[in-house]
Amino acid sequence: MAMLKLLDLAKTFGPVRAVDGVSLQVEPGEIYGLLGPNGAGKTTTISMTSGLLRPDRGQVLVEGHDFWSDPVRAQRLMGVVPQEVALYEELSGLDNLLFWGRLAGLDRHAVKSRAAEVLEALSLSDRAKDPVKAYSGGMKRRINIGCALMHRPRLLLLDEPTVGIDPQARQNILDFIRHLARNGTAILYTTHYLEEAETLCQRIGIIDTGRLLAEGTLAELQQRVSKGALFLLEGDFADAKPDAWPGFGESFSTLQRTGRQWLVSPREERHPAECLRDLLNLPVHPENVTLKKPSLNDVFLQLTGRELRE
Amino acid sequence: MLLHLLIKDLKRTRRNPWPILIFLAIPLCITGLIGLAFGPKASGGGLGKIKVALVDEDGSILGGFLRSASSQGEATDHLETRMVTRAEGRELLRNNQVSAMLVIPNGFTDALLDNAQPPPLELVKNPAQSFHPAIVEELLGTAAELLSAAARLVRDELPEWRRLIQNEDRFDYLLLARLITETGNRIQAVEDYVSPPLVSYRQETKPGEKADTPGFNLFAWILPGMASMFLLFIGDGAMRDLYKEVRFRTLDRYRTLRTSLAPLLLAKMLHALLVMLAGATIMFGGGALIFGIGWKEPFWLALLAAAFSLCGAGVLAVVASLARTEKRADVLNSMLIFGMAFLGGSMFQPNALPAVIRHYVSPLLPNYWFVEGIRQLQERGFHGSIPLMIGGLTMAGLLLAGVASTRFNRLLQEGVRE
Repeated sequence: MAMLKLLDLAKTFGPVRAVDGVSLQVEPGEIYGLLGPNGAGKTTTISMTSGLLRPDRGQVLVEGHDFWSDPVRAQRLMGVVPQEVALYEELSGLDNLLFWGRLAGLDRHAVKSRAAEVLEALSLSDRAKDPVKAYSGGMKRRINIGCALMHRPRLLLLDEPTVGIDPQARQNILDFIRHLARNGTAILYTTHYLEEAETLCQRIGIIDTGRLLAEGTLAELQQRVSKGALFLLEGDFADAKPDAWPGFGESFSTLQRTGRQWLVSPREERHPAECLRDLLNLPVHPENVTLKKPSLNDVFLQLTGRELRE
Repeated sequence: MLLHLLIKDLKRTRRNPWPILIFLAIPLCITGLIGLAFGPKASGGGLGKIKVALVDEDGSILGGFLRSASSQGEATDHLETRMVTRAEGRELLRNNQVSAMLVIPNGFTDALLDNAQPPPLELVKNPAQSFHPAIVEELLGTAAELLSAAARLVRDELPEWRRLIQNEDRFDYLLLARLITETGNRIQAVEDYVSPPLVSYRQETKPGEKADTPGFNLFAWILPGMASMFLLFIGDGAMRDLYKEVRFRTLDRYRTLRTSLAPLLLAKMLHALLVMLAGATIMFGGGALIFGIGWKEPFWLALLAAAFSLCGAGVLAVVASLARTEKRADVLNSMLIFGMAFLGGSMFQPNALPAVIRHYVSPLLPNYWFVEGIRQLQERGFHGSIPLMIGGLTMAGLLLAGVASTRFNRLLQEGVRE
């Protein structure tokens, strides 16, 4: 049974349709990445999933049960890591863990031993009694995650948990999340970092303007863009009129075209050498042609017509 | 869970006590400054010992008489005179070491004894002090009236008195005896007009009451007003912490773990109540230690402070719940606290306010009941209206807490943001 199932979720704020018909599911031990630019609807989706917002439409099923029919049960099963560092900075890391652990329902003895475990797992035992305000950004992020893990949730919602930290700290956090998934935790992970989604998530959903545009494994999404490969042509294409070239539109589609770069993908699965020959026969003279594997950015480009980094 | 929430807030306050410490220090400092500006504390029913520099340029019997009069009997409790030159007197005034300088001008006694108009006595008041110089001025006015009356009474004998005083060879005891007899006769003649006085007073000490009660203490008058205002500021800081929870997203985290907001709100109010009570203890304890204020009826004072804290926390919680944003809550509560302090007698005595405010506005404000209650405890001790004040404040506090809780719950469900 899916640990989390979102069915046709929708939320509107005034005239803004923040989330529009998002459906997805996360299995135990799976890391599902929700990838999209800022303002795409990722946080609103997480807020509805965690009960912070009531959806205007749709349903949140946690282990098969509707969230709002038994919110206490759902809250016990899930841990939520908000995008901002939601900690009491005057208190120590240990105090924060103890407080959130007690609030999650752990008793006095259980909370102490669990806090020690979490600190150990996050490599923060030696700084446990320091106030959070004295921590580095990466350490705050780790404690921020740790507070959501105190009650051993089987479903973890992580809303961009690595924003604003250095690459090494980010890598530590990603390793920790992989470790959690290996132990069976279902993870819904939102991000706007392509590399994180590519390297961390088993399945990825691409969201923009509140709508889930595509989902699947990285390979499935790559396959969706082109049948195996993309060609990046470099040269002076200012006067090129591909619509007038006979047969070009049937064989290739343009993903992106700028003054000196032209990214095309074959419409059907063909041998790259064959595609290259057709491209070199076009009535333009590329200075360089690069064969590349599609990235998630290319997928996003194909789906939205703009880059994820814009 | 309520306990965990409360302990967490108390721990946070302990780790960052500066905002509260500042609000604790300010009323003590203001009380000290006002108290020192308008006169020190008085023990023994007066306003402390008044120091006067006496410049006797006349070099006559009158200067010696004034000096010996001020250094005898009860006068020593209130007056301390120092015979100095005019230059020394000015120096003492400049250094704020005396409240006034009295100059007996040259020829004053001669003119008085010659039945002529004497040159005026000169009084230089210390501009850095307010009460004491005014008291010296009043005393001097009274002394001048008495001296003038005495001179008129014994006008015919004055030349002989002068001869008696100025005769340096041999003191004429027979003349002295005659003059005393004649002066006594004159006094006896007017006795019916001056004695007994038409208006008098009698001081009584009730059995069981200390004869030597602490006198009026200006600090004890000022501090309750200041304390009531700054206790509200302390409570305001604690209540607005709810908006900090919104800003730091800890409220969102709370809501991912708990469905009911009531424990969180209740904990915030309890936290506000506790820090206000701790603040009251420090302020009133500090007042006793620093300014020597003898608080009467400490038990009732503590109950009054607790009831006021509860009512204050309720008022602030209601305002915070209506504000919807942290900035608005900040502005609204500051305005409200100053308004309540102004209209409720924290800054001015309610009697000094316009009648419409005094009768219709002040009695609606918790500051009024708190300050009035303490002042009444100080003046009259415990009496029947004190429990009524405490009960009223407590009931109002509970009612306001209920309103704030309901309102906050709805506000947070709607999605409050900083």
